[in-house]
Amino acid sequence: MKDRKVLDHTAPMDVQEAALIDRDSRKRALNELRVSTPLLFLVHGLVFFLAYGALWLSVRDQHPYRGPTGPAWGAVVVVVFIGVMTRIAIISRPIEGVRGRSVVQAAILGMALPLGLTALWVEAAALDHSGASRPLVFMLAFAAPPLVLGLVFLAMSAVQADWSVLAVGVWLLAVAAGGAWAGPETVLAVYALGCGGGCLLAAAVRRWLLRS
Amino acid sequence: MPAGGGGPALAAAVVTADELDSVIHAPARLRIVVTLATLSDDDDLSFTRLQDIIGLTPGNLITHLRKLEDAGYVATHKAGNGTSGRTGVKLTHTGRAALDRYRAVLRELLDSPANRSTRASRLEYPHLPGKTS
Repeated sequence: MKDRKVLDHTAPMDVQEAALIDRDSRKRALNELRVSTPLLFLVHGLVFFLAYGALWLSVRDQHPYRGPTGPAWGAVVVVVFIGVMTRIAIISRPIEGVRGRSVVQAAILGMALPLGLTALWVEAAALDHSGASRPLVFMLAFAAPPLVLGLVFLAMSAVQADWSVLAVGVWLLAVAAGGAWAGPETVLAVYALGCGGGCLLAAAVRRWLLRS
Repeated sequence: MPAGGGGPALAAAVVTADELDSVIHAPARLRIVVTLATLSDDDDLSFTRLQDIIGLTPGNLITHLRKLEDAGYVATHKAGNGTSGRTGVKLTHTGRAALDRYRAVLRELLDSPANRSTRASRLEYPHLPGKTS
């Protein structure tokens, strides 16, 4: 009711009221028209944690190494599907009704993730076809999501001049490259905790910074 | 310049068109300009989404947009006809500069001695340019 009263009021505002309207309108517009990075980090963090966690649970006692089991892949498909749908919703809502360069940039960045993943997974399949060992093929396939998402975050940070997105991108690349040294089994735990935990921590920090 | 017939403190807090851009200095138009300013230079926003964010009736929004358009602060662009048509609204460079000036004046007024009694609350507006000391 109070909001409506302010809107209908055409008399001169005092300085405090104008500053308040300016501040609140800006906050509301940013909430409506900007992609929520804390939410984006949160979704990626949960997907990393749950998907790699499920894969790790299925391979941790394997001797010899055979790779993740069918039920683990099933869990991954469900988690990733929910994550992708949520990601699309998070990115689509702010650009609804907007036309221009930002929408084109969002579309290109949106395509970069599936295209990059497809390219690396095709590469892994080619290695498998060429007779490479299973652990090697799986390690490349496992490293693809943090590698590609890390690069996408780097591109996003350049477009949006956002240091927090850059930091998460660099972290994902570091975990993707460094985690591979842990071997085909432990790498999954490293990715679950490193990538998942890193994104969840970034979500919490970003949320706290936005509120303070 | 102070306006209104209240006490000295109240009168000093009220600003007039001489000090603040009168085109922007209305609640609804300030909301419109601030909302459009959060978009990038090359982006426009559909009339319906703007209405959704601002919370004005279509008639009121059209009236305020017309005033802003007459001042050269916003530009509207129509594409298509009928129900499939879309009206895009964007802030012009002139409008963006006018909002920057408006915010600078607002900050000056908040920092003025006349508003010293409300100094603490000024710290709540970090989006405005200038020092808050």
